[in-house]
Order: sequence, then C-alpha cells, then structure tokens
Amino acid sequence: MLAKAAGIIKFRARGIKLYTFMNELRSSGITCTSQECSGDEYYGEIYSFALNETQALAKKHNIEFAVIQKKGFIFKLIRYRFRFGLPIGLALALAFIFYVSNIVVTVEVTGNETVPTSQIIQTLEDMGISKGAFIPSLDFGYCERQLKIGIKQLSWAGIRHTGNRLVVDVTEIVEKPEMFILSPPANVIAAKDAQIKSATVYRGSLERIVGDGVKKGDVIISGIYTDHKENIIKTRAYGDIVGIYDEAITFEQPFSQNERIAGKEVRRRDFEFFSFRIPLGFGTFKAPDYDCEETLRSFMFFGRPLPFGIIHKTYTPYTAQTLNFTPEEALARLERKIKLHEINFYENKTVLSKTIDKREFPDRIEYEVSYRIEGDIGQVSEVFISDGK
Amino acid sequence: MRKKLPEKIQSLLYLNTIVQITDKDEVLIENCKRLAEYNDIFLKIITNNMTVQIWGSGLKINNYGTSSIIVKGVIDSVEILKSKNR
Repeated sequence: MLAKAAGIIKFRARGIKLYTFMNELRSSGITCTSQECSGDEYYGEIYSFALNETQALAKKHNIEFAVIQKKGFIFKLIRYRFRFGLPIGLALALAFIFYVSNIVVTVEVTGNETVPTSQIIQTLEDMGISKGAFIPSLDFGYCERQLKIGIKQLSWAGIRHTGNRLVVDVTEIVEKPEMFILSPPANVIAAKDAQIKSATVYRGSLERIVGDGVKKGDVIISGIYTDHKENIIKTRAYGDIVGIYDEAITFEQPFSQNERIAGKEVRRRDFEFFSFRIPLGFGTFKAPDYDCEETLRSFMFFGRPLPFGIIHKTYTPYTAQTLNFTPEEALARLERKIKLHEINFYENKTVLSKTIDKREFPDRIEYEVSYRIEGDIGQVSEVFISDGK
Repeated sequence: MRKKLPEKIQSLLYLNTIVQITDKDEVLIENCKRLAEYNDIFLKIITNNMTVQIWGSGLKINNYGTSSIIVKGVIDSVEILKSKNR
C-alpha cells in the first residue's frame, strides 16, 4: 500500500534487445506488473521509485523507453509543490486548533449559593486561571487548595477541564445556625421622653398607667414580676405603647452649594479577544470624575458563547458645579427637604402639631421644625439574668 | 544415480520449477531463468530444467522482483518441454 502511495508509472519500451531488457528487468528485482507485449512494443507498470533503475536498464540495452502514464496520489501532490500557502495555511490551522484546545475559553462555577461567582473567578484570576491561560501549565491541585484558603466560606473546591472549558465545583460551608433562646426575658421600655396615651399589654406587667410621663429608658411593661403566689415570673414582655412626644429638627439650605452634575454620556466599544482588549474607534476618554458601565456581548456559535465579543462602555462624566440659589429657590428646596423627612419618618405616626422657627443668615436659611407626634414609643429591651452557675 | 543427485539437490534447495495453474486465468511459474518469447497469445519461459510454453489470449505478465512470474489472461494450453540446454 505504501508502494502504491509512491505512485505507479506505465511505460512503453521498444527495441531490438527487448527480451534481454525484459529478462534483466525481471532478474534485477524490479516489480513490474501488467506486462504486455504486442508486436515490437512492450508495456509494463513499475513503481515510481524504480523508474531511474529501469531507465538505466533500457539505456544499457538501447531500448527506447517512454513514460506514458503516471498514476497515484503523489503525482497529484507534486502539481501543488510550489503552493506554499497550502502547507502554511494547514500549519496555521493546526496550530490554531492546538492553541484553542489547550487554553481556557470559558470558566464555569457550580455549587455556589452565597459566595458570588465573580468572587470565585477573581480569586482564580489571581492564581493565573483566567480566559486564555494555558491549561497544561495549570496546577489544579494547588489552585484548589488556594481557593479554599482564599475564600473562607468554601469547604471544598474541585477544578477540572473538559477540553477548553474549565469547571470549578465548590461546596460551601454549612454555617452553624444561630442559637438563641426563643423568648428571653425582656422589658418594654420607653424609646423617647413621652406621655403615655394608650397601653395595650399582651404579656408582662404594666408598670405605668395611661397619662404618665416617662423618660427615655423607663420600664413601661416589665417582663419580671411576682404573681399572686409570690412566684417570680420571667417572661418576654410584649405590648403596644402609644405616647405623645416632642421632636425638634433643624433643616438648612445654603444659598451656594457644590453639586456633582452629570454630563453627556460617551459611548465606546472594545473588542475582547480572550483576555485582550482592542479599542474599536479612535480617541480615548478622559475626565477627572466619571462613572463607567460595561457590558460584554459575546459572539455566539450555535447557542454557545465564544471567547471573544464586543464590550460596550458608557462613560458618564461629572463636573463639580457651584449652584447659586435665590432666596425663593432656597426656600423651595428647604420645604422639599422637610416634606421628604415627614414622609420617611412620620408615615405611621400622627403629627399633632408643627411649628417652624425661621432663621435667615447671609449664607443660608435655617428652619427649626418642632413636631408634637403621637406614635409608638415602646422598645423591647432584653434582661440578662444570671442562672447562678 | 548421477541424474537423481542433481535433482535431489535442486529439491533440497527449492530450486524446482513449479507451475501452478489457477482456473484458466492464471499461471504461476516459479524459478524461471529467462523469458524467451512473449506476445499476447504466446509465452515461452525457460526454467532450470524445462521450457514452459503457454498459449492463450490477452496474456499479461506480472513479476514481483523474485524469480517467479505470474501470467494472467485467457489460458488455452500450458506445455512443458524438456530443456535441451541446462
């Protein structure tokens, strides 16, 4: 088969000493098949590597020797022997296939629930495992140990690869559940200085009555009390205490204020090839203060993401600007602040009264707002009791 | 005795002429000395101790670098003649 791959040459021989030539051809050990003799012409087929020897024999016996046909794959290849692009292209293709087969194209993380995937990938990148890394040079055992050391929440890490896809399997530590007494003894104390408007006791002993004034920290419902049989009861006090209290807050609005103003967004695109970034377009973005948002759109091949794609970047430049307000504008901003505060903090409460004390200064306006509020003033405070041990 | 000894030696050294005919398509002749005559209907081969003549049509010869010849074609007859010259 190898000899056939070398090629077969069909020849024609003519001459007076034809039989001598034929016999010497046979006795010289040259394989000659499909021999035919018609008239004074002799045909045969030899392997291409025996051509020189056969021609020498023909010359020796003054035989007219002519090659009439060349058969075999080798003769087809010879036609392309000056096409250097073919072997170069083939070599490049093979090199590319070898390269892509032996570098990390994707990194998949499985088994993580609380530890973010980005944290694991970042830790792996610090160890040299990232897109484009040469797989045979990676020490998976060392990286697995380093991963467990680097991220405390992991109890086990395993790294394997299937072709150019790297899979990181992790198992997280199961945290010991927080152990606490379901109902430790606690009192309900006053969160503010207030006058008790109403008290609803669900559990515990009411220490104050409606109408009493209490200071911040005073016990309103006690979790430790003595029953009618002189037994000391320790329980978690529970109840709704509504009181009336005063609150004063100062709001101010300066006439001149520095603010961070967002400018026009600038978009740029980069081409990411494995871990390399090649900017698409001209010019670089420069600004002293900006926010940048990036999204990667990978090229897809039959639904699978490829290791290259386009990164879309959106830059939002900011400039510091001094805003100057007229007294009317400053007032409007101040009132907006007061309104926001009331919405955020007094939504579940009743504002009984509100007084505003205005103060104007050369550089600002101040409002001191005093509220009289009716709302929940109870706050649970645990009581730590020694068990005597 | 004299005739038998060379024959015995030939036999021991596997220098006998062997003619193997397969159907009427192929004839294998081993230990050939030379080809005396050849065309597409007649073939004459001289071996160590005999002459083999093959008649037929479309006769083609294949030799594979050994002292044997394979004749292919339509074989009509194979004649074995005692060699006059050894």
